[in-house]
Amino acid sequence: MRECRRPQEASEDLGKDAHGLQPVGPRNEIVSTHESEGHTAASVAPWGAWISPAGPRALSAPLLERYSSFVIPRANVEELARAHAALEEPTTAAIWIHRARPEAWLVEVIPTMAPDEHADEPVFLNPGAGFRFPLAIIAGNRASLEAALRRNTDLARAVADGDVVVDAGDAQPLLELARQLAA
Amino acid sequence: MSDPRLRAWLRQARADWNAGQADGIGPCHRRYWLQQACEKGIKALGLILWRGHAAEDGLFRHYFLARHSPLRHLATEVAGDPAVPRSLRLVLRELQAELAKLDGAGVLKRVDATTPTMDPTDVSYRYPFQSAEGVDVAPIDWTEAEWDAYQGNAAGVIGAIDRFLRAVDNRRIAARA
Repeated sequence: MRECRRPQEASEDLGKDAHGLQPVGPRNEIVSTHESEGHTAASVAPWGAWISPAGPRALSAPLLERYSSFVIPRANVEELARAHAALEEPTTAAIWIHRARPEAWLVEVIPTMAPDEHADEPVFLNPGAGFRFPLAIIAGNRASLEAALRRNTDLARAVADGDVVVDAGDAQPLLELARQLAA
Repeated sequence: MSDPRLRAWLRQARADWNAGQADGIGPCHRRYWLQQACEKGIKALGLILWRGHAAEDGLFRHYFLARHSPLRHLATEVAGDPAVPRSLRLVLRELQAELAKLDGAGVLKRVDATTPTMDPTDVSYRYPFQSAEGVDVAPIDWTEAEWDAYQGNAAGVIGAIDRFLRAVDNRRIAARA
């Protein structure tokens, strides 16, 4: 996992606009942490989006909803997840979590992946030429992801609150397990 | 990814593509430069996507940047290697997904799989090889039709790589904005 910087450190580096939002820097090393959700992963917005220094959770719910739908349209996430499901080693479940974040966070079941005790650690990718948003992918085979949900209740809550964008049989059981664990 | 480094990859990819359009060269040379342009474009896109931990940069170079046919290499030869980090595997998947979106006909993936090789039984752009009938063939002997069957229709390959390089360069420019 990438090294995190605390929000106050990031805000020392970058100015804020009139709305108290700060620009993401050119190499995008600015970070918002999500400790309120138990996550410490760096959130980076390489395409130059604007994020609150305290992270998207600091925004009011209606504004948050508008902001997130502006930043990453569901259709784009769905298209990407379907592309992953069409690969030679297909994704059989994709759940979009943390929908308010500037990256597209996808939890993906990939049956061909080897067992992984660290399946809950996201892999971050920059925006590409096709899918033009940064990505954070939590991927593993179903058993590894189920174990990850049991270990990581924050992840379980996020998945329970997630949006299923691909389900070839593995998404619903994962979602149900997450809901049990999050209850 | 530093922009000068990425630009260097893309400049060389475009130079290779231009070399593939030159007058008076044999079809094998044309096809070789087109394969090189495609390979460098894919590596440039990989550089754009890559955001792995700094400790994994060496593995990214080893398994991806330093290889011919980087997609095929990652997908086949290193798929079962436990030393390959998850980040690299997921970059490969993302590259595959990106190419599927940018090049629905699969031309780029096909070109990527035509690796320059020294194996005498593999078709080569640069070295003599043995045909399926056991005949020794110099690449310069092959006709356009034979190269079409191996790499894909020349005009289609030229167009697909051109569009791909433009898309990758546009992404680079957008990332700087």
